Amino acid sequence: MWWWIEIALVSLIVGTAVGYLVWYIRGVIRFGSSSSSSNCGSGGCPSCGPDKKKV
Amino acid sequence: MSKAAETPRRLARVAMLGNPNTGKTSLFNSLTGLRQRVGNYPGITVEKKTGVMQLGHGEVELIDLPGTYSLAAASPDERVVVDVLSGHVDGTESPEAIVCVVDATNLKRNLFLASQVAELGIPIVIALNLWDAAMKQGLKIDIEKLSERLSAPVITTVGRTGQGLPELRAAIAAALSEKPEMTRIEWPESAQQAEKELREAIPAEIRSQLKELEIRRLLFDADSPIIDRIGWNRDEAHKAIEAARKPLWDAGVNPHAAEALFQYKHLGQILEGVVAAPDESLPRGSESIDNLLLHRFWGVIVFVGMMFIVFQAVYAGAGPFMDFVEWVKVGAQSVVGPWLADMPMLQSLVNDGVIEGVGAFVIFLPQILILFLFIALLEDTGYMARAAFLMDKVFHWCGLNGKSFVPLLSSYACAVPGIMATRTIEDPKARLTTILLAPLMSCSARLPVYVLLIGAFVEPALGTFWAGVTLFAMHFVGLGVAIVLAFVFTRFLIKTKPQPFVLEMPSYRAPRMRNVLFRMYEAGREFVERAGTVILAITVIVWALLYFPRPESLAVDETQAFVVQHAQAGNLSEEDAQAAIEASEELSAQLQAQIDGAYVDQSLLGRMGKAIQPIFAPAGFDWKITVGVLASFPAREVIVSTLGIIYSLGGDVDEESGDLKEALHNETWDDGPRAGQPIFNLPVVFSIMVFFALCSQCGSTLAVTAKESSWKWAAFTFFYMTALAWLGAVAVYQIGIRLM
Repeated sequence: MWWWIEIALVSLIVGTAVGYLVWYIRGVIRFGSSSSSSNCGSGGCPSCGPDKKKV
Repeated sequence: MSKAAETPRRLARVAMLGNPNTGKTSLFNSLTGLRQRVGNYPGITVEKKTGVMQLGHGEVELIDLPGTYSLAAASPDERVVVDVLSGHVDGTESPEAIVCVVDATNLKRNLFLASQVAELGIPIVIALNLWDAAMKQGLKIDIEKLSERLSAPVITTVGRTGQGLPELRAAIAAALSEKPEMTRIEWPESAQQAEKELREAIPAEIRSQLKELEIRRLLFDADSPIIDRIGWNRDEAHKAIEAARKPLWDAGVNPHAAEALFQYKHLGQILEGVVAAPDESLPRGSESIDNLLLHRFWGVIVFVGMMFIVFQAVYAGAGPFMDFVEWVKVGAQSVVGPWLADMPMLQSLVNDGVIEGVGAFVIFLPQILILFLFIALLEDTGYMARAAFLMDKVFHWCGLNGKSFVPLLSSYACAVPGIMATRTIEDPKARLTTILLAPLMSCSARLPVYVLLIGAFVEPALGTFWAGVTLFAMHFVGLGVAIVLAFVFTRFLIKTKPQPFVLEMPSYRAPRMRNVLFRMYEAGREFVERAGTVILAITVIVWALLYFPRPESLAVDETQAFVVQHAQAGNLSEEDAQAAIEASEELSAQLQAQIDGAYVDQSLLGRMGKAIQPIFAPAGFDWKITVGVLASFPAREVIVSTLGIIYSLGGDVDEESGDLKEALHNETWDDGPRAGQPIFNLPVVFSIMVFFALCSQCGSTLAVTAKESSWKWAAFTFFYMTALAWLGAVAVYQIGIRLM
């Protein structure tokens, strides 16, 4: 009975990963950095501060 | 809903400007509570940043602007200052007040900018920063007299400690309400006449767009960017400007030097009797140290020695912390494994994919922290500016100058801010060349790749000292190639003219623990965040591509083949061999590893890797390394996770053996002329490291390259670096195996 739960969970995790990566790449192309750091002037790297506002 | 609630509240805008490295960002952080990056060398802030500052009972928007020596904007970061002050950014208006941050130890030169800005008629507050350094130097400044002569509030501050901040806030609040005007220069007759003539020569429809300050910039600056912004025909503009300069020439003044001449005369009158300097014949502390650190021979020796110590420490100092992270990873796998035993696919995803992949990456967190500890120490002490000065000679030879070295040095942490830091370079061609070369610098994402391979192969073969030497040398591979390429680019591709290099040497100072810890925290946070986001996502996708398809018939066939092989070897019947395998833990584990290996071999990524592997065969890569290389194009550090997953899924790493290094050691060629021989030997290891040193494997870097230049140049960067990496890897491998 576990097999369908297992398939659902694995599909969900892999699907989320693919979705996140697509969103991330779109952010990189659009902002020059990761979408998660889109409020940041030079995000997506270890040198970037957390509170930079891109203006 | 009330009308007030519908309309967004507009905050008063206060701009903060000053010469480079006067501590503007430290003050900005203290006033807004934000944490913008600070450092003891010029050029850290290259774009404007905004924050909200509490002022009495209200709030104002504070804008931190890049450092500039004057309003004669030459580089892109300086243009930001002029555009913000003139109200030409996104249609927003000029600021209501300006905080001019002035280095108290260099008053006259710093007030030059303040005096230029005073002509805007915007209220100005002078923050006399680095007051502690001025006191230490024995400078005596009569603040009251200075404030009176400037007709502007002068507040002594120490950005690093927060001294003078309450007074500065009060002065900003008063400036916003009382709107005082700072004393302006009285231009001599010749300058006034020239300005009048230029105003009349400007076509009426353009003239209406220009402020008084901008007309003066057109008059004094060599080739003002204002001409292009207002759409004035360049030839017409230059003719009109040259004609308007005639009164200055007639007065015996070179128009290009006129502003400096008049402004310094004006400032000389203001500062007369205000500043008492100590005896200048005594060398200051910074100068004594610079005699050694900027020495043409000893300076280079100290620089190389310092870098050597840094990389030795990065390599040797992280061992216990790495063991701890490895222990946590193996512990997590042994807990999760039995818990998900009923769901083998999910168990594999979590154990072989997520924990193994992310764990293989996170294990390098200690190295990142140690590297950034040293970077922060070197930045905060003021040594980085000296390193740029030392490198000027080398860079001058290859057509660039030391100004390119500051962005390249920043790229050692990460190429993204390094490329943005090129905005400080005035010459567009030199800037473009620096952008194209910045990704060659050995960024911190390369560190895990180097440490994994050096730890697995170089250290066992040559010892810890040479392992550190190798790590040190790998960080100079990109720089060496960049110097040669700069020579080629600046002569044949983007022909640049020799540029003078002027860099203000900041005073040495003891590093501030808060800055150092913050830089380490930031680097660590970003590293862990990447592990939990993009690395995790790629890890899951790589797992899926290595796990599927998974036909049951393959396990049956592999089991059958293993049983037959065991029966023939032991002269047993197949039933007895089957029973013996089931009874033996060792044989069962061998069978499972064979099945796992067969599944990985025929997986989607396995097939793709085998199809592409011939391209990388001359560099000594097998299909698994090829898969790692392909998966690393979005972010190079992914190779560590990918190799972790490949060997984990392939049954080479499990929670008992747990060690990726050991798995790499045990890998052998399955077939071909080298069947049975180890895949990883020193030529292969160096070939992989050289490939990663030179290849363009960072999506963020390419995107920022496109943003700061164009997609054409981003594509050029990708192709030239990838081709160079392949050639470099092939050359290293082919020479290496012949020397072995």
